[in-house]
Amino acid sequence: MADYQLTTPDENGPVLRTADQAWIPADPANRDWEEYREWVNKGNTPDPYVPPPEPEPVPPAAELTDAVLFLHENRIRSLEGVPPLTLDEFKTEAISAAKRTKGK
Amino acid sequence: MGINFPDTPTTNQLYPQPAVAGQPVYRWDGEKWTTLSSSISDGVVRYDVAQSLNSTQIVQARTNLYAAPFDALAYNGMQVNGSCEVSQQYGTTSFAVPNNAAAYVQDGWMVASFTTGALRCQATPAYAIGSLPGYTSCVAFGATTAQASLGAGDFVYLKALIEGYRISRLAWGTTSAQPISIGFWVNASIAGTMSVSIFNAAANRNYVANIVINNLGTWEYKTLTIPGDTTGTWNTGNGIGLDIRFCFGTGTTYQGAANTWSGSTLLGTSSTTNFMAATNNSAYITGLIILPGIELPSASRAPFIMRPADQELLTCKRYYNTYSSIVVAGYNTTSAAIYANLMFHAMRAAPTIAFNSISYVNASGLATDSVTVNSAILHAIVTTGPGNATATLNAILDSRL
Repeated sequence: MADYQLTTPDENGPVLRTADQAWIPADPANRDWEEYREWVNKGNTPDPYVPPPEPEPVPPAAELTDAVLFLHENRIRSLEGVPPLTLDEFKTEAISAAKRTKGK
Repeated sequence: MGINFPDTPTTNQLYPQPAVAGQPVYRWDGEKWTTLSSSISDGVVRYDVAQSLNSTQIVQARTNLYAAPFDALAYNGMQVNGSCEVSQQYGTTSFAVPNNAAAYVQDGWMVASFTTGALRCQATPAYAIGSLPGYTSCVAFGATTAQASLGAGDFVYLKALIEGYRISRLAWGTTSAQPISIGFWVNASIAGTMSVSIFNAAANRNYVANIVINNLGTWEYKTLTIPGDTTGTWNTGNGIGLDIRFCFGTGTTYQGAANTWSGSTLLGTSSTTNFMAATNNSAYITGLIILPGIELPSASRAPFIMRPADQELLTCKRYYNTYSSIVVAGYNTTSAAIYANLMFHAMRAAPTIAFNSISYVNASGLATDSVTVNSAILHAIVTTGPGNATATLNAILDSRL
């Protein structure tokens, strides 16, 4: 592991100082940046940029709504001291509730 | 005493010299003696000779002249944390000074110990003072392992770095360069000669002066006035303007002639004492004043010119700042980011940001996206989503010189 790691694909961009995980901006007035540049000029090479994990796609709106309702239901249950539902239990409950509403 | 004028006076010659209490001073105008002023006892403030006025007379004379006391110049002090009261990084905790590297001991003050020999030092920030009226703290350092004789390239010093904006009024590097006056209190465990040196950012302009510490274990008020440097490049922006070093020992490589500007890198002179020649030797400094011009307050009034700690803290936060209980929160899918915008007191330059005391809820991978002199964007990655996630943290912002 090198003393520094790139934080962007740009080799002249900000770097991470591995010793304390401090983020150093690419500002010539910053003394840590100046120290990093001196380190590079001595022939050292920072660790390469590691891109963040690819985020999961945003679910369709209907699924998002379901997810919000699911979290909301479990928050209410938490306040009421009732054990939380699993996602499957929530879906079953929701279908039952929908049928009850439709039956009225 | 009678009047006995000189037989062959020269034009503008004064008589009597020095002035005598109760007797007027006369000036020869080329033809006759004219009364220049009344005597001290007549209550006249002189501008051509020094007078011995008591404190009441000084106050009255100043009032008559509409002259502000030195205390009013506090805001003009170019020093940062001169009273050594602000210590954001270490509090009052001592630490071993890294050998061959300068380190901040507290806000505005660095300590450096360079040696290929045995010398090892310990520094204490905001060290409590019990014996110097008007001051509560000082910066302290001492030898945990002594070095009886320093090598040619060895040295040990405290230094204060002053930002270019703070010294731009001096017009150094031009023919209009103005002098500065430096005052400080020092206490050392041995008597001897320390030195004060000044550098520009490139360390290619240099001035060094000797300061004699007369008595061991005694707080002494030291002053010096340094003529403005009419040459060289002196930073007037957000970089290093003045680099002032208080040297307590240096080898021959960094010794040279005192009281002159040069392109050298002198820290001391052949008179500079090695204050760290015995284990447990120590030195203390506080009350640093750096004023434009040639005047400084007297020792008894020096504490009055120091800025209060609350104002000094604001100045220090331009260079180093800490924030606690920052919350990065949001709702997102797995591996997506949640964000927080951290806004802070404008700093000297975009700061280095380090985190500590990080606490995650359904998140990980806290990082910084971008930083300016007064804001930063932070993010964390949602672990399991879609869902709520938070990261709580403390941040250290560092844009010291």
